[in-house]
Amino acid sequence: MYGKKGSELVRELASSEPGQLSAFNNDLFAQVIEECTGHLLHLGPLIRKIEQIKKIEEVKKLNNQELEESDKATLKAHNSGALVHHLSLLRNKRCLMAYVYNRAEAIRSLGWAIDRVLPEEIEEKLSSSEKEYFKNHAASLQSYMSELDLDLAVDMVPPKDPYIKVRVLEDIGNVVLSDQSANLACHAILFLRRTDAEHYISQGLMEELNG
Amino acid sequence: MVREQSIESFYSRLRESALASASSTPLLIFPSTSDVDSLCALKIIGRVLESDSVRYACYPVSSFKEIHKYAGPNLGASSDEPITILLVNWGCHRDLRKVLEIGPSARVFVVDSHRPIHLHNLSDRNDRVVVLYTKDDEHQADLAYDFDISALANAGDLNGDDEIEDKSDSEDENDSESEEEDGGGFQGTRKRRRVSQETEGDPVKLFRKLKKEYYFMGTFHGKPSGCLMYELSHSLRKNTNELLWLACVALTDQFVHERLTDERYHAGVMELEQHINSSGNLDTITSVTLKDGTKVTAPDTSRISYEDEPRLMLLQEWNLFDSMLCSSYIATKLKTWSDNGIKKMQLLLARMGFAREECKQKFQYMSVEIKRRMKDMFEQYLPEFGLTDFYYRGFLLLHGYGSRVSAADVVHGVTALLESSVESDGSSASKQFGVAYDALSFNKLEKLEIGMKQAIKVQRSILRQGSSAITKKGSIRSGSKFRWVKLEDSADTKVLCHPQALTKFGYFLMDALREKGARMKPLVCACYTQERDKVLMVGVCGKPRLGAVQGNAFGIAFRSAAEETGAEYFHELFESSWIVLDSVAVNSFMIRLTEKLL
Repeated sequence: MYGKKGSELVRELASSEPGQLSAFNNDLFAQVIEECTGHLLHLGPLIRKIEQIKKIEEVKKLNNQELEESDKATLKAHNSGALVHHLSLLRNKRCLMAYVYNRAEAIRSLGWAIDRVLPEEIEEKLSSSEKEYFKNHAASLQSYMSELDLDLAVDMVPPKDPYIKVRVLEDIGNVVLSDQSANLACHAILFLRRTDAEHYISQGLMEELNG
Repeated sequence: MVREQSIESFYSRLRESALASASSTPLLIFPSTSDVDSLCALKIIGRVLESDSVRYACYPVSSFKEIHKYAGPNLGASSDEPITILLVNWGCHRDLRKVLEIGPSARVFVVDSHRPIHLHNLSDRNDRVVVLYTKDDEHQADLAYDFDISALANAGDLNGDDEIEDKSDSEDENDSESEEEDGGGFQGTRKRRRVSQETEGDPVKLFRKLKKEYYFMGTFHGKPSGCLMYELSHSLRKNTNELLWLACVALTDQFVHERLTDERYHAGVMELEQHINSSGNLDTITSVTLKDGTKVTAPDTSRISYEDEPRLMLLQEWNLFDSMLCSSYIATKLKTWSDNGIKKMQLLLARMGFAREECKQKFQYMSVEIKRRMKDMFEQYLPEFGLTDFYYRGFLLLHGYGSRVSAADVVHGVTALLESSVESDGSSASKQFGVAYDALSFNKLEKLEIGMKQAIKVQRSILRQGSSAITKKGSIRSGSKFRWVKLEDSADTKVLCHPQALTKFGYFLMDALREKGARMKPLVCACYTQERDKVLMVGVCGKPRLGAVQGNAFGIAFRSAAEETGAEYFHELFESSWIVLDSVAVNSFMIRLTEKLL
């Protein structure tokens, strides 16, 4: 059935958690494009045939003649055939665009949360053009922020305390924080600037301690 | 310097120093992983520092050298970056400056309850080490000095030249020579008398004598670090109920592990009771008005109270029967490992009118009737069995109506968590420290429960091993000055091969021996590790008594005996009466130890 694969693609997108990326479905994506080319191949000859019949009709009209019944029937058939192919094509295109657009949105929001380097487990889910897109997006964000001289990626809700108590979950080693250097050894407990810690917490290398 | 006598000025110096070095490194805190007191102190000082926005990094350590792994090169002599370090509940009984190779730009602050404090740490000339040692603490100590410690500490530098490193080396040699001369610590008392008779001879000689007296008194404990830190938070008006509870746990830690005299425990309890009363724990029930106007009585979310507590371990997690069977106090008095003992215990329960089925029920689900009558009944019938001081004053944490946790159970649980590491290397100790840190929070009772279950396991092993050592002839060997017992070849060694657990085992044996009428002697417990290549040794000297002249004297003897065997040993644990040896060297070590303590 025409358009089935396209809808599968969209369904896959809809069934995943919002904001979460699943692996880019290269296979299905290519199949849908292939289907589109198939539609185009069908559509071209049909349109040409319709135009031929239309020309015959115009010529006949000048001679005050009607189209023959058989030609009328084929025109009708060709018309509806072209319509089906055309609409399927449009629909597939919309499905593909929705798939790509929604993923791009998720990637853009990633650009705010993570700076520059994608974690491996996310990177392997992206297609090559998406990787490129992320890189360029992050770069333009960075250049905008450096132009403004303001970090726009911070939490919108201001924290109650500029400092935070965390436990280090994996050996990170000696690290230069915003103005100090600290040894982030496994199991150490640190009380440090929230901005320094956020980065590690988002990567799952630290956990916040309260109480 | 330095000895700091007031907690407030100790803290303000610490803060100043930390802020001065804050541009390059945060304040480094190294808490000891070996007791609950250090955890409590860390939590309290952490809270105070947080409210002052002092950034810190905290790395739990279990031996002296481990600190270098975390502190990096800044600690050493070559660096001129200022660095501030706080040691929580370890370190002051060794010459920190030498042992840790502290450079001139580093400042080390020490809060520690271990005594005696190494004189070099107290000396006014040694400005890299600041020790908190209050006058009160000195006067209320279990062992009293009859001379001025500060003067003695300062004298140490006076008769040496300016090169302290050289001097301390030669001094240490002197120490070990003199140890060899009089063969260990147990003669300190005789020395003391001679010193007082010998009036002002040669000042150098006098100094040496006093110093020997100071160190050969043996090890003991001062005021719990947790309580000191609570006093700090109190004086800074930063005290909360949660911190007060931590102070209660810290005091109970010393009580449970028999590190202080009854008199000092009572003094500590009274002090904390006053704090409890003044921070609003008395108004037990507050009423809450609901939206529709009905008034409901609701207890405060959590409050601390003090009550007479029975000497039964982990009652809340256990059942009455097993807790009586295994708790050191009842087990050693009634000898519950023998048939006779069990009969006695059952007789006791029967006379009190408690059904056996009920007693074997988990304590939480035991009949309310029994719980209510328990105290009266115990007080009425226990003296018949010779158990007169079954109740002691302890602290409780109440959450609403539902849960009540006693401080002693918290100590048992958290200690078990600290010591339930799978391997004995440092990394898992620091992991366990994290688990214990969480378990000590108000709202993480489920983690504490895991610890209590582990503590029950430990106590069962203590009963098993203890009773077999008592009943089997020849397993406790007796020397003229001390006994010793060896644990090997059993699943229990895995549980007991941790210093605190082994110490508890030692106390159990001493109690049991006392009930048998044996003469009291110090006890050395040796426990083989799972792989049988190492032995953990712990020296136990009995509960400290007021007016005693001698603390735990095993520390010095352990070290010199181990040095003489020439085998590899590890004496870097935070209690000098704990040592780890190669198992091949055990026999020669014991022979030498016997010679030393003749």
